[in-house]
Amino acid sequence: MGLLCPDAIPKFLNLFDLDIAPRLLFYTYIPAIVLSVLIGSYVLIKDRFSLASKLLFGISISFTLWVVNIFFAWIGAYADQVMLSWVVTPIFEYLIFALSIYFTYVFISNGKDISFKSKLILCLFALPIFIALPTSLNIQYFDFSICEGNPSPAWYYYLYALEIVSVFWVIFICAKKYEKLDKKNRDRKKIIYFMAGMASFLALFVGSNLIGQITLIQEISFIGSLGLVIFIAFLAYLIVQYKAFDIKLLGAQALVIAIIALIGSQFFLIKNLANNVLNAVTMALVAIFGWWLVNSVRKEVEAKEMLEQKVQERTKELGQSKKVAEERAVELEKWYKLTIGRELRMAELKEKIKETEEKNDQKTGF
Amino acid sequence: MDKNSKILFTVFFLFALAAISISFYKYYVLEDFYISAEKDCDPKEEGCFIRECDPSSDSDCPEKGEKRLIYYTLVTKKANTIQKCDPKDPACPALDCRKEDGCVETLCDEATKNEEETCSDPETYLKALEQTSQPENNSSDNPQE
Repeated sequence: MGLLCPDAIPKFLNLFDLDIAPRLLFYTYIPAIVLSVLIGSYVLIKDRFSLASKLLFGISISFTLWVVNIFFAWIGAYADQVMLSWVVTPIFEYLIFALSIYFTYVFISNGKDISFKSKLILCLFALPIFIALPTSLNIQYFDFSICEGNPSPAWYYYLYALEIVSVFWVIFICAKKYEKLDKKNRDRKKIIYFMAGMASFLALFVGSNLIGQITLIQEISFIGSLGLVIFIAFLAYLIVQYKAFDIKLLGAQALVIAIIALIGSQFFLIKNLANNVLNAVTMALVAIFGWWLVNSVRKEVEAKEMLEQKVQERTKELGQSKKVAEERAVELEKWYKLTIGRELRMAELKEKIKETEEKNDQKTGF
Repeated sequence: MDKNSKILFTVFFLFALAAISISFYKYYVLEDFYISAEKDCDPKEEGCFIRECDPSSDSDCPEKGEKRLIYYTLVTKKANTIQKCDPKDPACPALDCRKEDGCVETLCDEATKNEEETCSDPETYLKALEQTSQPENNSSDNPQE
């Protein structure tokens, strides 16, 4: 076992002190990772393991690993544990940003993969991080009095510069695609919503971490998880409104899940038992009413869809009948023209016969 | 996904795994990193860093203003050379440099302090101590005052 940090009492699993970390840490991060893993897995299964769904799942897993690592850094009671958490943080951060760029490319190109060259560039940017990770270029030393790692300036400059560039990279990719599309194209709005969600997520993530490091108030970094919630909200809207990932999700379903997640997150903030019980009852009631609401909305939507399908089928049938009637009319017109033409010709011929007979009679003298 | 991409991502994740494994071995198993800690300092003898504790966040911080000042020096040494014990345990030896390689004790001076930090000077400290103790002696000579 390593060196015990001052003021830390390893009560949990003989390794962690849950009382060191502020309650806000669990309140902000746990609901965010639960939501991201839920939506990541849901999209992965529903979109049948498409490239975009795999990348979204990758982002949610990288974010979860980053959060778990941050938890270790906050609640770790021993210096070696906390130091290791500080040391490996850049890898998870880089994965979040690299996968976000890759996902942006694939999502706005409707599932089309990026070139090998682009993938190589994304991987090469990680090389300095891998090389510097176990050296003092990453974390210089461990500050025992506050039980935190002390990052070197190189860590700040390289990683944060890379993250800030990533935010602008995402905006650039979306803006370029937006410009290419026709003004009437429905995908233009889709790109705007996606860009707003993704850029908010990445900007809040890097911004809150950077301000937290500069001001030495690490609690500011908790705002970063809000960015992920915003991104999930935009993604849910894209799924509901634009059937992104070919998924049918009702707005009511998304809202009920969001409300349950928000109520559930309060468990990490409440200390009082009575309030915990009240919160649990509220959550259960919301889940029951939510289930009932979603079911009734689903029935309505199904009825509406069935009606629409019937209207479509009837319109199709009517269209076919119209076509048959038109064909019949054409045929009748042809027949009409044919018979009328025949009658006229016969009248003409009769006239000619009559004329010929009259001429013959004159010649013969009858 | 094409074959080249698969190879690229495999190499990427192997590199990531290697970097994490080496870090785990170095920092967790060998404890091969430097720890910087505060050590008690005597302002009468050395140039010490000065910090003022906050009674609202620290229960051990005294209410009286003068006693809130903490004098310390910085000791930087390898984590694996430090004895593993609870720092609150009186039997746990204080962090100190005892002829170990790589151990550095930093006193406060213009070169070592940051902009926000302040240093104590033994001469100034002793003079201030004398000045504060004189009125007390005078008052004790004449208890009727």
